[in-house]
Amino acid sequence: MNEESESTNPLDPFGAMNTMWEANLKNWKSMRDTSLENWSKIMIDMVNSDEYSQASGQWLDTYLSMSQPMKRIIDMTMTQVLTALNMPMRTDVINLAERLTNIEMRMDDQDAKLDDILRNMQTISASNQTSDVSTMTPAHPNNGVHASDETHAVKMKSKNPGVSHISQTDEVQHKAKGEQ
Amino acid sequence: MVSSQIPLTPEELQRELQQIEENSHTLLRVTTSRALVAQTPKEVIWTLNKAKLYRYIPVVPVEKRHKVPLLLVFALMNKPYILDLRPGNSFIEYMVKHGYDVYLLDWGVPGLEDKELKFDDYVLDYLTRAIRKVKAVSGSQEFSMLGWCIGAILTTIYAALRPDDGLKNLLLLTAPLDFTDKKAGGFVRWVNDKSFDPGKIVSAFGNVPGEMIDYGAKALKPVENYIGSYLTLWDNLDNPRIVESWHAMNTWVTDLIPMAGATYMQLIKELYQENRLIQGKMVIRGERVNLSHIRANLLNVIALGDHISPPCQSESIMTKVSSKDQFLLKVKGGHIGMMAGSGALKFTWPHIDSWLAERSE
Repeated sequence: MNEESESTNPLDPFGAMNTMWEANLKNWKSMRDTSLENWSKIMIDMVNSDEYSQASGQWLDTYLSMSQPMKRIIDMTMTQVLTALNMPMRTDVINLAERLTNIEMRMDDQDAKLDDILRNMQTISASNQTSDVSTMTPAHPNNGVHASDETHAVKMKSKNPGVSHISQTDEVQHKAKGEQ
Repeated sequence: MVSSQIPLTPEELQRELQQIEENSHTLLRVTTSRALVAQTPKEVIWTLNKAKLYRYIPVVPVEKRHKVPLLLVFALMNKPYILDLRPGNSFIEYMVKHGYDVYLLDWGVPGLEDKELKFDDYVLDYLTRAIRKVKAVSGSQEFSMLGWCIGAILTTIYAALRPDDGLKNLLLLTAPLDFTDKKAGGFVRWVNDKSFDPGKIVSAFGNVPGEMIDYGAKALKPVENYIGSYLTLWDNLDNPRIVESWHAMNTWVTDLIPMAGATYMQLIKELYQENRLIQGKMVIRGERVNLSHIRANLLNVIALGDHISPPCQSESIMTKVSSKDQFLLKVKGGHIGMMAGSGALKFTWPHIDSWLAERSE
């Protein structure tokens, strides 16, 4: 406050007005924050009380109890209308979706098994190539067989779009790293 | 928003009016549009029903990368992009830059056909398969898993049921696991009231609507959520950094998804009301969930100001697991702010990184 009064020019009424405005604004904000904080504490205590739990539970119970009969009537009417129109109902669509998920799961398992088989095959072929190369080292001093095979493998994999493409390419990269 | 100076000259008045106009536009934009979120580059490597598994494109050369991949599992009733909110404020971006091979399991939005999904299905059908894919893609038989909120329940159940499946590090964030204290927090009180019947909600809606879950979360701190948040925005309309941060968070908060009915029933009845998990009485597809089977290195992060999962719900797991290497990290902040607030980058993320880095080789 001292600094403010020192910097205020009594001959400049607008400056004084600005200072007052600023101070009032600050006070108002601090009052607002304090009252909100107090209000917040009261509300938190309220929602954490047994009375609130009971009241909200009862309100929800009443709402659900009252809305249920209406929902049942709407469901029944919709079922009758859709059956009469020879159209699928929500339950039919849901059943179909459940079946699709089951198929998806089985496909995922098959995919994982295929991944395992491919990985095993790659391991076997890599170990075969290593033994071949070790016997042929004098003819291929720079191990060119490995490099071209890996490039080919990556190119072949990149022709298959989608999920398995990413994983397989990565596997090849990991493998290449392991061999280095 | 309100100017600290009274406009006295016509120029000042014009400037003031321009400022008010700009601020009004900003206010309208951030309250009615979606922010650009989840921008860290990624690819979908696996899908099942609505669930998707993302792999984040590594930016660190393979030789400098940590060998053990990290799988992130978020809650079921919110979108997981809170972990990748926006550039500069993204846990995923941070971890990718620190050399982790990061995967995120997005549960998707359940439809009515998913109303029968339970924890059993999420853990044994979805999570197990996603982990299989993580292992196949990363080429590592070991992996780390981070679960946040309900995601922490799922990862804990998995860790207890499949302790020999290669889980090396288990990270739990604000994990609601122990509901012994029936007075701790609003949720526990509300759902333990005699008049509260989760069965009625599920039979009425099938899946629990996102709006209902959102109301529950917001009602725990009504003044902050319904008024305080907007006042913060109003006060800082001329601060682009705060405005954009608010916009991104508001986008996430208002992006509601329902929760599968059967999972909700299980959560309320078996966990909140009967407290089966921590007591070792929870049964998942015939298998009892025994927390003492968990042997993975454990980092348990709890938020001291968490009003959704109060610390007492998360702490006690430390005494139940068999992990020899375990650490309890207490962080200032709330349920979400702990990981997505301004302090996360300075405290929470570096702690998680330093703990995980030495266990990911």
